[in-house]
Amino acid sequence: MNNLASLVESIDGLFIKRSHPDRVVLSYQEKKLLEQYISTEINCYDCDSCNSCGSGDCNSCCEVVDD
Amino acid sequence: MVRKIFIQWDSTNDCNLRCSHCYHNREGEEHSSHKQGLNAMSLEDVILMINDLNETAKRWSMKPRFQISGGEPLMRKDLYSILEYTKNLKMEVRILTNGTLITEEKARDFYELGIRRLQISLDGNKKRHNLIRGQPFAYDLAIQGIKNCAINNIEVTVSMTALKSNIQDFEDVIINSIKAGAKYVGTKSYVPNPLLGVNDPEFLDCEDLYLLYKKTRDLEQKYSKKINVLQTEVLWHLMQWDTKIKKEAREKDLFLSGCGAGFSGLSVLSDGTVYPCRRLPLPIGNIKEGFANLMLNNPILKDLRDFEKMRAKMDNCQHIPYCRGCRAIAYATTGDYMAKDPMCYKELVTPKDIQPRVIRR
Ligand code: SF4
Ligand code: SF4
Repeated sequence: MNNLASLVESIDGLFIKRSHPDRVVLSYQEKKLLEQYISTEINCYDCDSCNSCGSGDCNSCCEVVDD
Repeated sequence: MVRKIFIQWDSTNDCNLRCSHCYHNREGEEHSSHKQGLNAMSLEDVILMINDLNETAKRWSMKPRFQISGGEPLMRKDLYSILEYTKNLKMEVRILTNGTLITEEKARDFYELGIRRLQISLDGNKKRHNLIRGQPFAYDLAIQGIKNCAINNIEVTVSMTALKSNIQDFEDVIINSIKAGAKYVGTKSYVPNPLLGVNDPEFLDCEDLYLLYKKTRDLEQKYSKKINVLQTEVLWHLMQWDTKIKKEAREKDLFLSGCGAGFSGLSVLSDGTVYPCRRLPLPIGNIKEGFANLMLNNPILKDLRDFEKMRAKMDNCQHIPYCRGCRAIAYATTGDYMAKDPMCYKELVTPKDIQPRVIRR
């Protein structure tokens, strides 16, 4: 797939910083978002049912590890 | 395991079928023709989008997943180039397809290109499936597609959109999924036509859904040795045991699971337009604006993450951190994406309905 290889090379230069201009430190907004997720181990059993709700991977299907 | 974050991408509007429940029937001329116009994302744009997802996931310590749907994804000419790219990134990819174009050779190629799991739709017995899907060949070719995947070590999930007119066929779908070699089978709720809302004759109300889930449990028992019958849509939790982690999520008011809109990823149309979920047709921007930028700053997504606002609409329901119902169905039936999901059957649940979640691998 030489075409693909050269295409990838040519767009590598404009590789998107558009989403995250600051790549090292998380922004305030990012921290705020990530703090809203419960910190736990999610045990996705890969059943693909996330597709079944049409959205994709919503984690709603995941067995969350519960001791 | 880390959380996942996804893009579901409509790779093309082109499709070889004309399904009656397709979202594309509802979204204007170009979509309803089931033909891709000139505005499809270029391969460059697709690769930029994939990189963006990959980088954002890394940055947020999540695992990226790229789900390719359509139209019919097999009608996108550069599909293999895209899969080759995701394979190099070792990105998890799923394809959502009607299955009719998956020849043995295609299934072999998919395996080579890193596809290990794929979703094919069956919407009832043969007669009904063909009627819904608008082509007399749709069923046989979909079954053949499942077989071709199975013999090439690609696990297939069969998904049935549950309609008033087909719920009685679910067992037939299970049996034929087993015969064809599928690994998982489940229903997904139908989003009614917004012009009709709850009066859409195919819409299942809360009682229908409750009965369907109870029936699904029986079928799961009956066929558990042969296939995994899924119990995993958002409203299933109402019939499942409370757990320590759910309690913690309630106490701390944190997102655990449930409707993914606003939390778990974005849906991108073939021209780059972004929706919060493929079934929630609210254009919130273009993917060129950046995955993280949209996730973080879009006011609709912020609303969808605002538990206080949502609670106000749902009589202070305690299940918000891992439910929220389906925002798309709420929107299609009320015009308000924050409203209560009319399929919510929590008033109908009895103590003996509450059972542990069944997980089989
Ligand atoms: S009211 Fe909303 S959050 Fe509560 S159970 Fe029903 S759909 Fe889920
Ligand atoms: S809006 Fe509905 S289909 Fe979309 S993620 Fe939420 S529950 Fe799933």
